[in-house]
Amino acid sequence: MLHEGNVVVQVRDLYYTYPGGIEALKGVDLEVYQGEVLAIMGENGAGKTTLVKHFNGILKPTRGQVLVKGIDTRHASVAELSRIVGFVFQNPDHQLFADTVYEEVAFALRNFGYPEHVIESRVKWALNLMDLWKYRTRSPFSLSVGERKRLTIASVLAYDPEIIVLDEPTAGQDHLQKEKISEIIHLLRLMGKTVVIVTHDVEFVTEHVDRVAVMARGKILAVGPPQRVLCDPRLLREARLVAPQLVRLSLILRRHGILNEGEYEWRADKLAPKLIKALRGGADGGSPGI
Amino acid sequence: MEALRAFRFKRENTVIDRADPRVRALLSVSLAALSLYVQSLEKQLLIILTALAVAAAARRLKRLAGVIKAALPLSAMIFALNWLFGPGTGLVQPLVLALRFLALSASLSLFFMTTSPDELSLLLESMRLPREYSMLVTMSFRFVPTLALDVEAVMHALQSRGLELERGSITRRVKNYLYLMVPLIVHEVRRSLMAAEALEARGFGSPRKPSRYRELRAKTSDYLFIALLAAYIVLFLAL
Repeated sequence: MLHEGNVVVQVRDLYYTYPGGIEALKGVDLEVYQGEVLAIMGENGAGKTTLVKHFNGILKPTRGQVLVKGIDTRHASVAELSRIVGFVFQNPDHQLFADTVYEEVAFALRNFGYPEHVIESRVKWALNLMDLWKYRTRSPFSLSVGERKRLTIASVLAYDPEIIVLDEPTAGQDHLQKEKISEIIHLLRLMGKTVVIVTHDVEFVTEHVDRVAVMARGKILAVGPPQRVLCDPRLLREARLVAPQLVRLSLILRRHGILNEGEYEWRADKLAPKLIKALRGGADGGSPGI
Repeated sequence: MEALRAFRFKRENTVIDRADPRVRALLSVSLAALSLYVQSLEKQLLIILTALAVAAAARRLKRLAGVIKAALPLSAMIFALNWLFGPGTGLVQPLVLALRFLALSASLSLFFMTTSPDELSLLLESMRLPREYSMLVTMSFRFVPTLALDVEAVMHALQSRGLELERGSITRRVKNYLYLMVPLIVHEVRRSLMAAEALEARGFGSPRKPSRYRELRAKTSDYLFIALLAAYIVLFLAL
């Protein structure tokens, strides 16, 4: 899935200072590979959203460089970059404005100058994909929170950008909606899209992403597969993140000698047999168990 | 966006900030009234300079200069419209009107820049305005910076979907800004309903008269400030 040679977004020594003087990014280096699902994690104010807003040129670097498919974002408009990078904002209410769900999805396609018959087929495709075609004549504001979130994703998917940025997709969503978002990410992966997710949700990340970039105080502390990054207690403490529940359980099991030193199990289906074995061993008069 | 910054309050510890808010209100209203009263170019300029001098004393010169800069396009429009369609033929009258707009903007933003929402509320209540109304006014000002952030968020969201706000003909641009208005209004109405519920949940609207932790009391320095202001007005009118 991951093609390390194929970098779609390259961030080089990026610094960004907001007009009020707050230095949000202090020398960020990051590469996003084609077709991967990358999570950017960190505490509030770590600079995650500021970083991804550079991917489609909403923010321009104070110092350093961001290359999107080789295009320097300093010399391209947001509209140009948005054809490559689709951005789904955290709050759907910030972007919905049209009279109908159909028009909402057609908006970006019209801005990009697609002919009407293409618009029609793409809107239909995107709304069906998000299970919203039945609401096409309704006002976006009459939809539920989860449906509005899916509508914002549909409005981005409709113009088929290669890279999709999801800012806090699971914030304020119930379990069912999270499941739906998981399905959407899986679908995007199958479609070969590059997905960048900004999130705090460690449990969500362990299940769905290829790599995690951990940020704190405007810098990237570590980048790597979640199995490695989210099992590093020192790093998580520094980034003020809580380890996934199974990693915490693994730590307890290590203390009791059920898992070896340095061994983590971050998937329930792999940890369960080891636990069962330990418990049976205890019952049979073998090792003491937990 | 720059114009919205005029209403953003940042606490400082200067002689102007320490003054009673009623005195600051009197200063701003006096400058605005003088601007409406006088007809000469020099005097309008003098009012703007006075506002800038007070802003400098309050360590907000750069911010007030920013407000004046943001008001310049509208001021230029006032000039142009009065010059083209006004009753007179000279340049002086349209210029006075344009400068008056700048003087009014500067003197009124001076007050809002140096007055916290709490002080504004105390000031309005000292003028016997019922609590409901003073709360309404203070909350409106309190939400201006939040509104500025919302405008930015909505703009970013629309730009990300290919909308180029500053491109095309004038009608196209106006229409682009209309796209901005719908999510903003919906968002703000939702926010105000939430704020109303939060206020009610904390006892706002109870029939008992609410007490105040801080009350306004004029100090000697405030009387001195008023005397100085009176002297300024007399000198200004005598000039």
